[in-house]
Amino acid sequence: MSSVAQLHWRHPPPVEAPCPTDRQKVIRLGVSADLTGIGRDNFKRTPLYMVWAHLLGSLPPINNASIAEKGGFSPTYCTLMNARACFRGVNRPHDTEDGGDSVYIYVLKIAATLRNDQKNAMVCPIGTYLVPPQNVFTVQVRLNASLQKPVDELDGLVTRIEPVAGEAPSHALPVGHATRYAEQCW
Amino acid sequence: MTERDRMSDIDSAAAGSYEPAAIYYGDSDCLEYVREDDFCIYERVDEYLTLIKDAEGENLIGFKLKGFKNRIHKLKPQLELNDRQFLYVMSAIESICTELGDLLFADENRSKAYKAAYKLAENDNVILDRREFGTRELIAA
Repeated sequence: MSSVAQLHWRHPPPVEAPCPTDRQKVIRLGVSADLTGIGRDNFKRTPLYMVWAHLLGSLPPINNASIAEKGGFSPTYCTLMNARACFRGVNRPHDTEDGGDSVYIYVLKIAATLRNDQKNAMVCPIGTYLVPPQNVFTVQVRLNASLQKPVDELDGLVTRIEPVAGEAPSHALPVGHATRYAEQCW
Repeated sequence: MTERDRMSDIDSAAAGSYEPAAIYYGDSDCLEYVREDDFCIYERVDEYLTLIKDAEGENLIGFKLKGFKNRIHKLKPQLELNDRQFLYVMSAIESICTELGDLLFADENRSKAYKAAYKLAENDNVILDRREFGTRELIAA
């Protein structure tokens, strides 16, 4: 088997996203080692499964991963191009910044996701989970200008993906989004 | 090449199995402790603390301390006196509470959240291995 053409689930390809400052433009983002677990002995699989399903729009390329769909449910396959909103600034210390101004947050509405599931461990430890409808997913991104080590030929990095509570009544945006982020880009 | 050949096996790259531990995520500058590798809900408390709850949003299974590099800078004198390999995460929570002072006690929900995170860190004896954070960052902070 050639290793050149092999997709490895811990080496996801670049993710496409609408540009925070111009939604019509597309930027390309790498996936942080915080999510891939590269160089770590101990890392959580669930967020990387989410990266594949919700940022790359597919099951992770793991043998028998399709067992996740055996229960009659599929995870929501989408990408950041489906983001409902984008915010800039996390209003808190972040790395060397007092206000985390360089952090961008994309918001996704996800109906079903993937998680680490030891019930299927004999085949593949992955399962589909129906996300409670009051939740949304936030995806944190840092653009190259803010990174100490810019990512070659890419515009930045995806650093986190998190399910958070959505603000009532629509549950379309994170709770407290008006104060927890500096500004809404779109 | 068949489709199967293009796939990777789940443990082909020494994926290992998740063990609860405080993990520092450098690119998002946060320290996270979570008991299980499973779906969980992140519940923001304030700019420093996020509680991590189970899928039902009821049981506390972890917490996230944000802006941790900034926090380490404030804990530096304490770290210099402590030459052990591990940092008790309770110390970091105490440092935030000290900084918040009266603001913390003026808000009952906020106060409860910090107490819950502190209790979890204490009960699970949550420690951060300095190697996890990186010696370079500790010196540079």
